[in-house]
Amino acid sequence: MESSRNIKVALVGDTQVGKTSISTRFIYNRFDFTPVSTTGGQYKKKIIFVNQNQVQINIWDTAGQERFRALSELYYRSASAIILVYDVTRMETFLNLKYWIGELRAKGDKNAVIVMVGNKIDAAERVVSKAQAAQLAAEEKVFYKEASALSGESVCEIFNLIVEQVQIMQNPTEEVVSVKIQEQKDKKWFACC
Amino acid sequence: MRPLIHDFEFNVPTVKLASIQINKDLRPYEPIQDPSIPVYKLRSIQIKQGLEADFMQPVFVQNTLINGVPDESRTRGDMWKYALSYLSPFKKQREDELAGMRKTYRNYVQCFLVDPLSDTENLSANITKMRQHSIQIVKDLLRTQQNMNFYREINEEQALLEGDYNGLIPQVLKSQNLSALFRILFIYSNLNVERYTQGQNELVSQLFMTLRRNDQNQNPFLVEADCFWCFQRMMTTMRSLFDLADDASNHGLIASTKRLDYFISKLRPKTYKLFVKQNISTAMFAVSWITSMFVQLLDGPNLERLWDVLICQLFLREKQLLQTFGYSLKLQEEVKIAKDQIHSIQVNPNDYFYQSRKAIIDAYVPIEDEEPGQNLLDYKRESWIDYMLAFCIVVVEYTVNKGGDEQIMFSLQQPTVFQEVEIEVMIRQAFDVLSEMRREIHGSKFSQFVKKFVQ
Repeated sequence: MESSRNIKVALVGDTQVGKTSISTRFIYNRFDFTPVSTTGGQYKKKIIFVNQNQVQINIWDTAGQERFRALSELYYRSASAIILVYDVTRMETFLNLKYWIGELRAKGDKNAVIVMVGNKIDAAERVVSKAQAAQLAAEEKVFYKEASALSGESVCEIFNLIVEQVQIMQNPTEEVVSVKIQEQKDKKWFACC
Repeated sequence: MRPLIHDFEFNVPTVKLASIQINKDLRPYEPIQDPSIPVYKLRSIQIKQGLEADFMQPVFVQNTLINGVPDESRTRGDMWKYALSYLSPFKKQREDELAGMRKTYRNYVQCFLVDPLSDTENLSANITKMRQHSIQIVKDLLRTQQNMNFYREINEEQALLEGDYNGLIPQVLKSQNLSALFRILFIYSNLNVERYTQGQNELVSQLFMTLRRNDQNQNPFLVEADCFWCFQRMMTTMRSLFDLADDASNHGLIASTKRLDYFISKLRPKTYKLFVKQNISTAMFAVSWITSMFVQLLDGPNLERLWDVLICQLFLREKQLLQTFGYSLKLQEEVKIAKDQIHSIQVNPNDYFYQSRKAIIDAYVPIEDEEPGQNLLDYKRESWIDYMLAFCIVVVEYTVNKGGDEQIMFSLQQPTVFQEVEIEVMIRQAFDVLSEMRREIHGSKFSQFVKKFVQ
């Protein structure tokens, strides 16, 4: 596995749940209203500072449509963290999570940190409830967060959690200080490429 | 002994392999007698004259497309239609055939969209059934080429004209052009087993935009019908890239990226070392290039120019194909066979040409235990993509040479080379790479085989 200085994160999930939007929000802190559909995969990276240490986050953004699932494997196979995205306004994307978790457990890294993320919580017509999702997360023993790429709510927290958990995974004996990624506005700390 | 054919696929290896014979008269940037006439104007005139001919020579189509269709001639749409074998090469038959195809398309619209939606008794049941196809298509259409004004959504009043197909689609498409794309893709997904796949939206959008821009009749519905059939024909050859079931074949998407890996390792070993070091495989960036034929990387005139060449690759001359498989035919016979059952012509496995094709396939080693295609359609599917791979290699080469080692994967995602290098230059270089690719294959296994045969 890569060292905690260099974390590989893969974004997976059904089509049009907002995988690309989450990564764009995290990296550029902006929202594209008309992104293009991802075919194959996209690579993005960002250098962040965690407790004065430089950490490079490599994000692999995958295509959601069934036809490209065989290829998504390439991306999440060696990832140390996987963000599994579903859309809180569409039940079928939530129901597919079981399939995804099965795939990730079978083909991904055994120690990978899996975070289930319900996207689009800003939308009014919510279908998947928080309790429902929390229950699934507990059953499957994965982490669970809700976020909105549109408003930017909680997106940074997902990555806080990932950096923290990857550190725990890699140095189980060391005491991990709680992770706080520096605020996005602070240009001094936040180098973007 | 059967004469050796100097085909662009199988040149004798001892001769220098020029990949494609370009007719010098049609070559752009060639000095001409009268310097007062710009070259593109001269070529426009030539092309317009050529389109008037009673019989459309395949070599004319090929030469025109490889050298590029000048934008101002407004013939690009027609040339693409010929290259995709949508327009008949015989002038006499052209109008009748066109009318027939357009009528068929109108029937499809009737069967798949108008009738089910007007059937009031079963309306809601019909819509639930049809929605599985429509929702995904609409989602992708709303993010297709949105940087183009052509596909931008327009104001509310005009939008009311289009409607939401009685609730078939989740939201109103506020652009007539988007509605046309929806009908094309929806009917396509109903008629074909593998259904709609992402990437197809990009292809149709570019095809429709070009056909519409170069249309003389200004009738959007006829353009839509033409676009549907052109797309259908494109997919006949390209289908395997979009069909999951074809991943285990020599012409599938996985095999294509493996081939690209193979060629980079052989032709650009330095780049390949870099890839291995950084754990990069071409599948990580080239998939979107290949499935959308570079639509997501390029746009405008550059893209259309590149598509001229790519579509020309989809159009392998039937005669060349037949010769490749050892048939020798006259023109009339050729056209007849081409129309009726060209794809079902079987190849004799002991044939010299089949053997040479097998040598090439063996050299790629994409999928184990997979024999090369035994009929012409398979052959076409295997070979058309070679130029696209060559172009990928050109893009990769520029990007790698420019960027620092660290940044390589990042810059491959958003290559900036198109802003720096003329597309014309890159297209020429890709042809050089293509002949390098062929030389590589021939050099490895094929040459020994041919040496034996020639002696």
